[in-house]
Amino acid sequence: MGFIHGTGAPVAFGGTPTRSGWWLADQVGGTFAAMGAMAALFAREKFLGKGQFVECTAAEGVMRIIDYNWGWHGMDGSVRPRYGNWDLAINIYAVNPCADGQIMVGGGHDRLWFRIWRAVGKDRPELEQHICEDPKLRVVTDRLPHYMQVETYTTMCDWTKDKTRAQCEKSLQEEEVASGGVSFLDEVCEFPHYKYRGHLEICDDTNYGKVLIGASSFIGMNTPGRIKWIGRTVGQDNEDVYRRLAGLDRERLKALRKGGVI
Amino acid sequence: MTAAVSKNLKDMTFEDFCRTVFDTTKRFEKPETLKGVRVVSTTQYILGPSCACYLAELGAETIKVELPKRGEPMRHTTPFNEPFLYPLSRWMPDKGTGLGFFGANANEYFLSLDFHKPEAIQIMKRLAAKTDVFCENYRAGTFDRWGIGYRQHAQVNPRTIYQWMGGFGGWGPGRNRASYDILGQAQGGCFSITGWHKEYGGMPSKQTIWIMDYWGGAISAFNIIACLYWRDNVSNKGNFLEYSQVHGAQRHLTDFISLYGKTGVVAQRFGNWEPLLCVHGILKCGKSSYPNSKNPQEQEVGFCFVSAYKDEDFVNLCNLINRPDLAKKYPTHSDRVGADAQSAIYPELEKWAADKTKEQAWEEFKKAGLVSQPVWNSKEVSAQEHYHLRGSLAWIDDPTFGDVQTQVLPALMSETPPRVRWVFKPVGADNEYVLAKLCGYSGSHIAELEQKEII
Repeated sequence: MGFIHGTGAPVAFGGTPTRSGWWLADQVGGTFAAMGAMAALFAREKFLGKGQFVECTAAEGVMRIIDYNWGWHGMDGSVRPRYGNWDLAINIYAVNPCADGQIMVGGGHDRLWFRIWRAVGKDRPELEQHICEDPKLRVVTDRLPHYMQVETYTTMCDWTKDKTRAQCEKSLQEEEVASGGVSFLDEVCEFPHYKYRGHLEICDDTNYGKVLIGASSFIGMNTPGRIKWIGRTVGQDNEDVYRRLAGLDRERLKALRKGGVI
Repeated sequence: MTAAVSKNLKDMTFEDFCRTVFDTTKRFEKPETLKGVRVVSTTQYILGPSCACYLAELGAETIKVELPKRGEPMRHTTPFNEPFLYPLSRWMPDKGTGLGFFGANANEYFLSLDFHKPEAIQIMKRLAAKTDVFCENYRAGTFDRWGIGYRQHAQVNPRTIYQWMGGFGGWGPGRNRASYDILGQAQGGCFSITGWHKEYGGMPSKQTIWIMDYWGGAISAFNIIACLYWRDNVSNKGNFLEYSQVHGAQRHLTDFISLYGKTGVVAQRFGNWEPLLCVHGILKCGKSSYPNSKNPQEQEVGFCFVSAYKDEDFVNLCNLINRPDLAKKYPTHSDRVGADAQSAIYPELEKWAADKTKEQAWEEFKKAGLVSQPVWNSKEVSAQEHYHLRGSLAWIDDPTFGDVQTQVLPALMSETPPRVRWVFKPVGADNEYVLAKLCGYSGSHIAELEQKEII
């Protein structure tokens, strides 16, 4: 839906269209389906007095959130290209290599732009000077052409290549710039801030024992989301559901079981 | 539902039934889901704005509050710095709004307000008395300090639902860190598992779109509607909600997180293949579909997704590419899902596809009864009549900007469908409307506020 075409590096950088490493379209489509169903419940109780039919597809879920692609194509026929770990509309807003992985740095507006180069300039004053004295890079609006982005990030990588993610992060955060290393999953799971806030929790599941999971992200004062179990075995709740909701008795249940219906 | 379905509808085929109840040309004849719900959105970039926008597409009266003159930063974020949509405001007709603003501000009313002025705080308090939902994504605690946070609003209006959104959350040792979508991706964990492995010349890759923002906004909007339901039908109480971008990412990486928790294995990126299923990946096809196009995007060779992880499908696929020996070598799914087997199978598939365009490969896969889909760019998707008929893509006649193509909330609803009335408006376009209607200000009072640069 334009997503895979747009993800990954351009051909010139050795890239190809790339799928997301996780089942993104399903997650997004599911979120919109849940929103539609919740909205239908709200409407039913509030004024409609009846239910309705809601339909949602994963493809259209992704199409809804794919930035400005449709508007842009509609304006002048542009086809949104891949731009790797950089951004067509913001410079600096990118992930670039450093000594032990990759580091994200972001801040396109003047205030942040100069703070970023101040952080770089503490170790490498010549790099700060190179960028800040370049008349072609002085105004936000001049920094977006591709060759300007190449210039910006080549200079930045000259600084990041000798530093670890943590070192980059520390220097940049001293200047209150949004930055952070690309975290692998073990680093995510062990990150103190996430542990403190309970982003990850060990669910002691009746069936599967202790399982590390991502906790519900619905944080609410009165109605926090929660995960009670991660899943049940097939038909585990047959007895309860068929007796309580379908009014089946022992004999009927037995017959259905025998017939392989349930 | 049956009682509500007329005899006429009952006798239709299912497809005709869907076509009738979801008829997008009749969207504007039906009621809106969130009609009567008022939302105030003090947000910028995408995470907060998209949340408010989904509510507006569902019919909430959504008032977007942004800084006077230049508006929010996203108006000035656009590819190659081309501000496609003029004017920026009635005061700056020669400047425009960029495409970054597009897709996250539809159907809203635009109020400009400078929070640094005391009168602006008074206006916010007046709005609070009449507002159901607040969406906010300033640095955590800023609005509370200014006297216009949840705690203050709840004193006036205990039914207020207040959604704060941000990167790392409003509490905890890392709360003060600024965040953007790309940082949410990087530190949330989903960045490290996307892209090709080093051995294949790849590195971790960003999901090109502002996914953690747009999707986080959707999760927040869902939570807000759930709280509206709870407020009106269960408790008569408001709510204070928080959404952290990185937390949203982690919630949805659950199988990878559990893998680490159970075994200590750190999931790595696997390019266009799928670690849990084989064959279930994207193949490079050797030929471009538009070799004579002037656009380098179209000169590229094509890519096509194919799925054949079930044994019988895999046999079909191997016969199609004239390699039945592969089907014998990897007869069961567990034989072919390992990394070595996948590394052996995919290159053979790509050899077969080397002299084909993605459409040709797609045709062959379809003939063999396999699920497949070429990788489409935004031009190819825009050209699909399917999406325009379903209304998930729409050309609308925008009151300010004329003909624009836009996406629409993808939940099709038979009785109260979402809709896009306008893609957005200039900065401060509804100052008079909002201040007169909700704050009771006179025309001269509003003019005075404008002169003092409060609005």
